[in-house]
Formats: sequence, structure tokens, C-alpha cells
Amino acid sequence: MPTQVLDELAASVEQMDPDTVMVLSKRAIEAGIDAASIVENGIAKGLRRVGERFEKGEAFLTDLAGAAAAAKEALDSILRPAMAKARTSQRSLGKVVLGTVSGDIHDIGKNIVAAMLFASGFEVMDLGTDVSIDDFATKSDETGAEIVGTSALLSTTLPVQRDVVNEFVKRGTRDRHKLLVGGAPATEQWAKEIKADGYAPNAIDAVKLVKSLLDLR
Amino acid sequence: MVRQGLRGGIFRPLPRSDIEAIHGASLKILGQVGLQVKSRTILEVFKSGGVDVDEEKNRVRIPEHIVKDSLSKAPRKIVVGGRTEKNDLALEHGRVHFGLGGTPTPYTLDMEKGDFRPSTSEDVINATILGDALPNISFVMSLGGASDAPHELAWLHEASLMLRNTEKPIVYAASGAEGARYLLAMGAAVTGGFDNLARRPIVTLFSEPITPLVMPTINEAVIEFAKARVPVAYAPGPMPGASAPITLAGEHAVCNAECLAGIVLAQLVSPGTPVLYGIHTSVLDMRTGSVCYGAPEWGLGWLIVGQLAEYYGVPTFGSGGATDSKCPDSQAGAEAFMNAYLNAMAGINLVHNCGTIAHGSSGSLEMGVICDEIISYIQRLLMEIEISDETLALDLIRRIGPGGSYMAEKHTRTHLEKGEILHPRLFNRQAIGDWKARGQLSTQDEARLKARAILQEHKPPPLPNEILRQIDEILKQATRTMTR
Repeated sequence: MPTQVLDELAASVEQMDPDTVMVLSKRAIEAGIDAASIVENGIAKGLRRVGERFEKGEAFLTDLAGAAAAAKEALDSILRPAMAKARTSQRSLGKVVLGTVSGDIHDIGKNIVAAMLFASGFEVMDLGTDVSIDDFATKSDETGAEIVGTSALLSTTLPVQRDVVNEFVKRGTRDRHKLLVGGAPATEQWAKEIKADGYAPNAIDAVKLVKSLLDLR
Repeated sequence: MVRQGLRGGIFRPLPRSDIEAIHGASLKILGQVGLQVKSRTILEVFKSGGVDVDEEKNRVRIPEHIVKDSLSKAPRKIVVGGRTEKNDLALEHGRVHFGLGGTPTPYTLDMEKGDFRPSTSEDVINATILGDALPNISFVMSLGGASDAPHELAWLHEASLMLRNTEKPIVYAASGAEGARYLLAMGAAVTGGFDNLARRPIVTLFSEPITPLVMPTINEAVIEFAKARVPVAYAPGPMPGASAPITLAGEHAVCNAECLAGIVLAQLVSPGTPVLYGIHTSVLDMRTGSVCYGAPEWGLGWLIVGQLAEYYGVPTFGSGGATDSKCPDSQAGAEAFMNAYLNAMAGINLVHNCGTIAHGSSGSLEMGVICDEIISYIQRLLMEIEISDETLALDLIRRIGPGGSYMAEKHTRTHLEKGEILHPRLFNRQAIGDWKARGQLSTQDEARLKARAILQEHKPPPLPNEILRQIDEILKQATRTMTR
């Protein structure tokens, strides 16, 4: 029974069906399955499968976004509260803080990166869009995130990524985090110029980059 | 002696009722959904113009009568100026001009090394010189980008390099009100004052909202250009399926609403401000996340834009000649031709992005040269086919009779001289043996040779020292106020 409901849950994520994800998440909790296990062996498994199909060119961005959206409500309203209550957490490879920089509201790419990192076993704290420089630095320190990712789509908001890096330097916390940049106008060269720790052109490479920076695999 | 451009705008795939349906949907979007405006200054303009402003949500809802009123004030015909009058361009529906480049590309395809590298000021200079020399390129934007300049100043720096290195009109972007004021000041320095700049604007602003339905602070540049009565191209760049509906219809309903809001903004600031209308119907490739410039939907979108702009009676800013290919290959040729031709068929006035490759991420001088050749084909395609006694040539046919030759006839020479047949300058029509004897050069090889020759030989007339000094001074001041 436990594996069957989790398999169905993974499939419902893959099929981008939020209603079924909710029903099955509730059923799994009622069956006494540990919430962390429901996330890891149900939700994240479904997301990973979509990610694998995307990597092979068999799935679209809409599938990644759709699967992430299907998982969101169950995670927010059922599974994360259950983990908090049981004082357990998802198996975590590391903590990641993500956000779209101040002045920019584009978040489609950032959301997909968040979903893929989550599916790969990272604890992701998504600060949303138009995130102030101060919030990046403060939240990263509060959570002790190993990785901080800033996203910018506009060439006009790209410089804010440098401001974020400088804020960590100013606070003397630069060495505590790996700072990554992403978004259409960002490049490897830009990351070097602003002394960030890395750049990835897409969500799949972002996961690889984070893993390599944390010496995982 | 204003350049009238090609006579395009002859293909209108949608019936008027469809254009009215898109217009109607956009009015509902403007009136019911509205736009979120991130700038206090822009909100104030809308508010004092009688637009419904929700102060709490920074949302503006624009009623139909204000849209209509603004459209009636926007000029149907615009002239943009070159440094010299022979480079001035007349813009009104159906008059087509092509331009090199766009907004800065992070990479340049280095034609000597055959590989991508970060763009620098030198690339912007070289591209501008190329654009100045190519006969079918009528205006210039940036091909490459000044990644060696401080990031906050890059646009201004690029604009200064373009102003120095071409006599053709320039279209460029500005980072908000401050950047716009500096860009206008540079333009005024070249034209000899703000009055001259308004009369023969050597710079046109390219500005855009953040689709869907957000006007960012950077759009304050529109206000500055409107105050100076210098043209503004307000042309959104949606990502269909992500930032706009995936359907052409829904996407254009949203972006047309955005364009109309931009036109209203400019007209509220200064009635009669010249505005250009455009919607970049890109494709968000769902497999790679690339925003594609060479997609067929891109061309279809410009056909819709041409019809909407004709319906509104405003000139247009378009895009064709770009490719998603990473090098000037057959994909590049097909995509560049397809969308340049469809822009021309739509009657778009300023068609930018010639020479832009790799979905807007790189410039290529070779591709710029190839686009110039493609435009010559389009010029021929748009020439009217004359049916008259002279062209039917019945007398001649009688005289030559069956089995005769037209080769030595004056009629043949006359019409050859009049341009009946296009002789390509770059594309190859040699016999196999001759082509082999020349080294079996590909189109890209030929384009590289031509680009090299232009960069060696073409010297755009330098600006007078006093103007150069003024531009330097403006850049220095911008460095003080705009860099952190």
C-alpha cells in the first residue's frame, strides 16, 4: 500500500494534476506514511522524472512548470506543515535561497530552477520576485543557506546581481555562501566580473552546478 | 531628399473584422485588467490625463475614449533623420527600411576565429561602420555590446559609438529617465540643438513594457523623449506561453493593449509625439527555453502588427533578418529571409535585427552582410510588375518572330538597366568550374571577405571635434551620476 500510493502520487505530479496530488498526499498522511518520505518518494520523484524527460528533449518547459505547480499546494498546505509538526525535514543535500532581484518581476525560469533543485533533494527557500538586496543577505544568513541564487531577466536589473554580491562582502558574510547568477542577460563572464561563484544557463545545469559547488557527486 | 524606402505592406492575411476583434479585446484588457505601473512619475502622467488610477495597486485602467484621443494625436507619418539629409527616412504605412542589430548582444561571433566571445566596444564600432557602408541598411542599432564599459553605462556608451561611426539614423534604448536625458543630449549635440533633434531626430527610443501588462520604471525614458518630441518605438517582447497567452490572438490582444498604453503615455506627455508601434512575436521554445527570433510565428506576428498599425494609422518598428542559428548557415538564411520578407510584406517601417544570430544573444558581421544581400532580393520582390505596351513588347515579339534572339535588342538593354533583373552581389551564380577556381567559397566565406574589405576601406566621416568633445563630456557626467 505505502509504495502504491507514493507511486500514484509521483505519477499525478508527472501528469500535472493538482487535485489528485492533493487527494493522494492526504491519503498518504492518513495511511501513516512519514511526510518526508511522501515528499521524497512521491512528489520529488514525479518532478525528477519530468526533469529527466526534459533533459532528453522529451518534455517541454510547460511540463516542468506544470508539474511544479501541481506539487505546490500539497507541499504548502499538507506536507510542509506535517514535516514541521513531526519535527522532521526532507532529506536535504543543502539549503538554497533563490529570488528575482529588486526591480525585476520575471520568475518563470527561477520557479523552474526552484522546482528542479527541490526535486533533486535540496531545501529551497524561494524569496519570490522584486527581492531587496537586504532581504537576500538577511534571509541567507538566517537560514544558513549554502547556496544563494539571484535571477534577472532584464539587462537593466542585471547590475543588481553585483549589488547583492557586494552586500554579502559588506556584511562580512561572503564566505558563508556560494552566490550564483542566472537569467537571460547573465553570462559566465558576468559571473566572473562580479565575483559570483557561478552561472548556469538553465535549470538542469543549475542543479549540476549546485551539486558540483557542494562537492556532491 | 528623404529616403522613401521599399513599397511593402501588400499582404493582409486577416479580415478587418479580426483586427477589430483584437482591438476590442485589447480595449477590454486596458479597461478591465489594466496595467501595473511601477513608476510614480508615469502614474502621475496617467492620473493627470484622466486615466483611472488605483493608487493602492499602482494599476491604471485606460478607457476607450482616451485611447482613441491619443491615437488621433499620434502622427501618421514620421521622418527620422540621419547625420546628413540623404540618410533621412520617411516612415508611414508600407514604407520599409531595414536596420542592423538591436539591443546589445552579450556575444559576438568573431569572424576571424570562427567562435563566440564576449562583445566589446570594438565590435559595436565595427558593426556600425559595416552598417554605415552596407547600401541596403538604412538605420543602425547595436550589433554586439560594450561589455567593457561599466554595466550601468553600457547603453549610453554603445549609443555614443554609433553616433560617432555612422551617418545613418540610430534607434536605441535608454535606462530610465536619466539615461534618456543623456541620450537625448548626445543626439542634440550631433544635430546642433534640441530643436534640430526634434525636427530631424537622429536617435529614436526603443522602449518596452514587461509583458504581461507591467510598465517598469525604466519606461520613464518614454516621458523624456515625448517631452523632447523625439520618436518613441514602444514594442513589447512577449514570451508566448509564459508571459502571454500562447496563441497569436491572445498574445496580440495583450501586447496591443501594452502598445496602446505606451502611445497614450507619450501623447499625454506631449500631444503629437511621434510614436512607432510594434510587437515582437517571439517564440519561447519549450524544449530549450530560448526566445526565438527566427520562428515562423515571428513573421506571422509582424503581419498582424502591420494590419493593427495600419488600422490605427501609426508607423511601425519591426524585426526581421535575425536567426536562431549559431552561424550564418542555411537555417540562418532561411529564417532571416522569411522574417525580413514578411516584415516587408506587412509594410513595417523600421525593421531591425539584421545580423543578429543565436536568438538575440550574438552579433555576426558576416550575417549582417548576408542580410544586406537578402534585402536586395526583397527589394526586387517588392517591385511592381509593370504590364504595359512597353513591357508586353508585342511589336518586338512580331519583329523577332519565331526562332529569333532578343539578346542584342535595345529593349533588352533598356529594361536590364531599369532593374528588370537583379544581379546578386554576394550570392553565387558562377559555373561549377569557376566557383571551384575561386576556392569553393561558401556564402559565409564571401560575406567574411566583404566585411573585411568594408572594415579596411570604409571610413565614415568623423564628427567635428567640438561635437566629439560634447559627447565625451556627456559620458563623463553620466559616469559620475549613473555608476555606483
